[in-house]
Amino acid sequence: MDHPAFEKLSLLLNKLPNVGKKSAQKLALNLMLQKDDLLPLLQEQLILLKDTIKTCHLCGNLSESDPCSICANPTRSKKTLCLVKDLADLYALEKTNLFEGKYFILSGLLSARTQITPETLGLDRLKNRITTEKIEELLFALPMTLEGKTTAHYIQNECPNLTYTELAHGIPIGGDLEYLDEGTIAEAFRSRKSI
Amino acid sequence: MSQTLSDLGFILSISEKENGFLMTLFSEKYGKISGFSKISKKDHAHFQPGNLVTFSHYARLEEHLGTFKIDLEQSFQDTFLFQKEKSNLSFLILNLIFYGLEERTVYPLLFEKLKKIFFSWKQENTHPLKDYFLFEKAFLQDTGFGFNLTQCAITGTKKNLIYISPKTGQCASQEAGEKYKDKLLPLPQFFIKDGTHFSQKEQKEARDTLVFFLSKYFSMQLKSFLQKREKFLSYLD
Repeated sequence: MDHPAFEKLSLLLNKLPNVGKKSAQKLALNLMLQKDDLLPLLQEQLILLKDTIKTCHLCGNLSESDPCSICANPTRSKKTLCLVKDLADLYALEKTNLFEGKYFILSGLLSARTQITPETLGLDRLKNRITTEKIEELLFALPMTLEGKTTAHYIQNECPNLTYTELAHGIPIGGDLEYLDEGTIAEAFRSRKSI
Repeated sequence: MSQTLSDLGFILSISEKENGFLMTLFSEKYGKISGFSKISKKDHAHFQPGNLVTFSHYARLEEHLGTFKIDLEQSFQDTFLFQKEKSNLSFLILNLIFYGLEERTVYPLLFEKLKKIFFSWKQENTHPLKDYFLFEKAFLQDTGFGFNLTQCAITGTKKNLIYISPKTGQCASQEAGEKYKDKLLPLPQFFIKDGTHFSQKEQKEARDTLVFFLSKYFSMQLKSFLQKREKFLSYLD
C-alpha cells in the first residue's frame, strides 16, 4: 500500500509487546477505517496520557501525580516497604488489596544477560527512602528465580539493620502436585500448617 | 548447511521475549551455545539458570541463533534457592562462564567440574565456598592460564609450596620464595592438598590470589563480574 502514514503507524504499533507485523497492520487499518470516530478519541487520550503521566520519584510507579497515589496515601503504613521487580508486579499485588504498606520498584534484577550490576540497581534511591521514611521492614516480592534471590540477598546486605521478609512459597491454588518441582514441594512441607 | 546439535547443558541465562525465551546453555560437546526456545510460561519455572537440561539445537546456518528443544534433566535451583550461600555462589559460577567463555568453544573438564559441584551441593555436607574457589582455579587452568602447582619452579622440590608467582602461575617453596615474598602471592594449601582445613586465612588467600589472575584474564568490559564477585564473597565472610 502506497501510504506512508499507514506504514509508519504499523511500524509503531509493531513495537508494542505481543503485536506482530500482521496484527499491527490490522490495527492500523482499523484505525484508518475509523478515522472520524475512534481516531480522534484515541489521539486525545494519547496526548493526555503523555502530558499527565509521571514517574513517582519515591517508588517508580507511573501515576498522574508525583508522588503517586500509593506513596501519598497517609493511611498506608510507612514501616513496610515492598520491593517489586516491575510495574506489572506492583499492579498484581495491589489487586489483592491485602498489602497496606508502600512499594519500591527496582531498576531490574542482577543478571548475567541484562548487565544490571549492583551499581545500576537503583539502591541509592532505596537507601535514601529507608532513611527519610524510617522504614523498618523490607518485604521482598521478587521472582523466585536465581536472579530474584540473588538480588534480594544483595539488597539485604546493602541495607542492614532492618527486618526482612519475603512472600511464602508453596503449592499454587489449583496446582497439581505432580507438576511441581521438588523444591516447591519441600518448601510446602516445611511451611505446612494445621487445619 | 542446517545442523542439529544434541547434548546435555546447564542453563546460564534465560530471558523472556515476545514468543518464547532467549537462552544460553553451557554444554559438554559444544561449549556455550545460545538459541531461542518456545517453552510455555507455565513450564518456564523449571528452566532456571543453573538447571541441567537435555537439548537439541537446530540452526539452518552455523552463524544463526537457532532454536532449542529442551527437557529438564536435573533441577538444582529448587535446592539452591533456599540456601543463601549456594544460590549466591551458583550465580557467580554461571556469571563467570557466561562472561568468560567464548561461544562454541568446548571445555569438557570445566563442564564435568561444574556437574560434580552442583550434584555435590544437592547434598548437605559440602563446603560450597571451597568448591567455588576450586572452580575458579579450574576455570583459569581450562581457559589457558597454566598454573603449575606440582613443584617449586626454582628448586624443583615438592615440599613446603606456599607461594605462587603472579607472572608465571608457577609455585615456589618457602625457602626459595622467601627472598621474593613481597612480590609473590600466597598459595592456598587446599589448591594442592585434598582434605586440608579450609580456614579463614585460606579463604582470604584464595580470594585474593584468584582475583589477581581473573583480573588479568578478564578484559575491562567484563569487570562487572569481578564487582559482583567482590560484593557477594564479602557477604559470605
